[in-house]
Formats: sequence, C-alpha cells, structure tokens
Amino acid sequence: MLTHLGAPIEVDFELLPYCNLRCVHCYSNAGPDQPRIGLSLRKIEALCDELVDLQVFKIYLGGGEPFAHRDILDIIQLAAQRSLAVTISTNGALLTERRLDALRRVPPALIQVSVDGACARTHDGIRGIGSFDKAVRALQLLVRAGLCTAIGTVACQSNYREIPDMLRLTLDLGVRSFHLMGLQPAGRALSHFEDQQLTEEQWLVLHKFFSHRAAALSNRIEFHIEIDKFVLFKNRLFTPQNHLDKFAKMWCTCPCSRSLCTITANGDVLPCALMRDVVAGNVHRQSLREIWKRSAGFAAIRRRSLGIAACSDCHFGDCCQGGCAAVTHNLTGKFTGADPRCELAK
Amino acid sequence: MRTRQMKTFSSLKPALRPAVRYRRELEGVIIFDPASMGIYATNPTGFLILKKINGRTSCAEIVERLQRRFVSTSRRTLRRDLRRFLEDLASVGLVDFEA
Repeated sequence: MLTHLGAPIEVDFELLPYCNLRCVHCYSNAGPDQPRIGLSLRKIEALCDELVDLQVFKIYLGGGEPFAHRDILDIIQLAAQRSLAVTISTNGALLTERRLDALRRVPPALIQVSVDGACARTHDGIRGIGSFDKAVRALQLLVRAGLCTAIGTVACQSNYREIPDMLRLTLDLGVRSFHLMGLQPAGRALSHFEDQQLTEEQWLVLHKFFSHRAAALSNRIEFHIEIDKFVLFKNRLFTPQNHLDKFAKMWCTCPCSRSLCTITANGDVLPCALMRDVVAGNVHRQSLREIWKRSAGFAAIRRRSLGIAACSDCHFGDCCQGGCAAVTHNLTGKFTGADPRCELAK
Repeated sequence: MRTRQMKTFSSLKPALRPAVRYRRELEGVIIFDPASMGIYATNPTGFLILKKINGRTSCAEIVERLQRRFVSTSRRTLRRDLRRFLEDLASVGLVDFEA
C-alpha cells in the first residue's frame, strides 16, 4: 500500500519561536518570552533550493510571528524566485507600510491574518489587548495593496457566537478568503481543549450556516471551512469521493508526514506542527530528502492507519485513515489507535 | 453534426495554464495550480497526456500517441477518455484550448 509521496507537496516553516502576542490557543507555545532566533537566511535559501530539487510546490511561513523574523522579506523573495508558492500566517501587528511596499513587489500567494473574534473584546481576550485593532488595520492595508488576503479563525467556545459576524467583517473589509478551523489540542491549547472545543451541535449549526452562505457568496469570497470531519461522518454529511483512486485517497487524508512536514526554528523536522514530540531529523545534520525517506518516526506514522482495527470496516476508512495522528498522540500519548474524537471508532 | 464535433475536438490544442506545475509520483501525478493553490491527482496515464498539453499538440496527435502506448484499446475509447480528462482539467481551470 502506498503510504506517502516521494516528497512533500508542502513544507511548513516555523521561522522563529518568538511572537509579539501570547495567544491562549497557540499550538507552538510561541510568545514574547521566546527567543527571536531561527534558521539563518543562508540556511533557508539552501533549504529552498532543496525544495525545488524535490519538486515541493508550496511553503507556509509561520512561527511564532513570521514578520518578527528580520529576514522575512528576503525569505519571501528567495522563495518566489524559486517559484515556491508562499502562504504567510500572521497576526498582522508588525505589518508596516514599508513592508507592504516590499510585499507588493514580490506578492506571496496568500497572507492569512488571524482574527478570532468579530470585536476587540473577544479577539483580544484570546490574543491580547490591542491585537484586534492591529489585525483589522493590517487587513485594510493588505486589501488596499491588492494582496491576496485571508482571515483565519480558530473556532472555539469564546468566539462561536460571533462567527457569522466575522464573516460579515471579512466581507466589509473586502478580504478574499475566510478560513475557519477547529481548535487543535497542542501547545497552550491543550489545557483549554476540553472546555473550548465546539460541540457536535455547534459544528452542525456552522455546517448549515456555511452551506447556505458559501453558495450565496461564492462570487465574493472563498471559503475554507474545516468542519470537524468526525461530526460530518457521524451525521452522514460527508460523501466519500469514490472516484478517487487509492493514490488520490492517500494524499487527501491527514497530510502529516505523507505530503507535508514542518521545519522548526532550530531545524528539527516534524511530521506536522501539532506533533512536537516526534522529531524525524534535523536539517542542520541531514538533508530533507534523507529525513523524508529514512526517518523511522515518519515511517511509523505513515503505517499507523494499517493497524487500527476499529477503522477497518468503517465506511469512511479510506478517506479518514484513523484521523489525525497528532491529535491522537496529543490526547492519548500514542499515535497508534483511532483518533479519540471519533465516535464511530468507539 | 457528430463528425464535425469530433473534427473540432481533434484539432484543439490544449495548453496548461501558465504556472501550473506537475510532478510524477510512483503511482500517479500531482498537479499544482498556484492561482488557486489547488492540488489535484491523476493516474500515470495522465502524466503521458500532461506532457503533451503544451498548446502545440492537437488532441488528434495526443490520441495517436496514446494509441501507440495502448495498442489494444480502441481509438474511440482513447478519444473519449482524453476528452473526459481534458474536461476534468478545464473544470478546475487548469487548461485552455487553442483552436
């Protein structure tokens, strides 16, 4: 059985552990107390050359806060020169007019600004005082500059009721995309996960809401709404894509170590940003190609779905493959076994 | 009418949209569209076709090439499969057609 691609489709960079904010749900434990150091520009350039050699298509620049990296504009430029599609995830607070001018010259494929509430009170409660106004200001500047921009929202109990208003905010600001994802149990979010994750009923409300809105607004906005897939499975709101062959199924499931990996600020290579204890290798000592092909940690995660008895007869087995390895690992201490969020596997 | 449609299809020269890229994998091909950031997959035969979707090769020539590879498959089937494949690519904005 094919368990992974010959190389990643996407590589995520955590450029530095430092962040100017200290969000309560940060999966990487970033914050102002973390060091402002990361991979050197020279190392990132060498890595981008290797990514081109591996035929990787896109990179994701996160952190910490990527705009706190002193070489961020050079990193974007050297990636663009190599035709790597760049997505940047930012809180927006450090975007200045000068940086926008530079971004206009080498536009990233997408700049996603995190907004976790429709008003300052909610957003700042999650991300810190004053952060809402800065995020909105950044979005206004980005839209005015004609850059491809998205709002990224982590749905949780604190902002659930405001999600329709956040969509309105996206429209009012003229932002092109609205991305909604669930809270992930990693980093600081792990201790809030039980209290803050959405319930099945709430996900169903959001599913209905966005099903209607996506159709009505499809000419004005792009939606990337990640409704909890286990809720969709349980309520039969998901149709397996039977036309996909096993090859397509392999990479459209959890991409962790199959079509995606993460490189941290110290060079560690992780299966994904949520699984911080499984270090597959380090780019200061090995090539990414070698890590991708030979890591025992990656191999174990890639084989994970083969050994889950509870999933063997599941209607959604092919397109789920045991769910998220990182969430399973973070909630149960091991990644062998079905995703604990799945009620069908219980 | 049918003959004219077939002739039209045969003379079309499909071209991948600018910046669309693809790479070969053991069991297929991954296609990436930077404009939409979309990722698509197809089977190894798709790779043979993608190499010829260059704006210079007509559908008739692509069918000809496929016929050399799949000698026991009828030309009609190959033409139908090619048309479906190109329609799939066009539906997600990956190809243009030059007459």
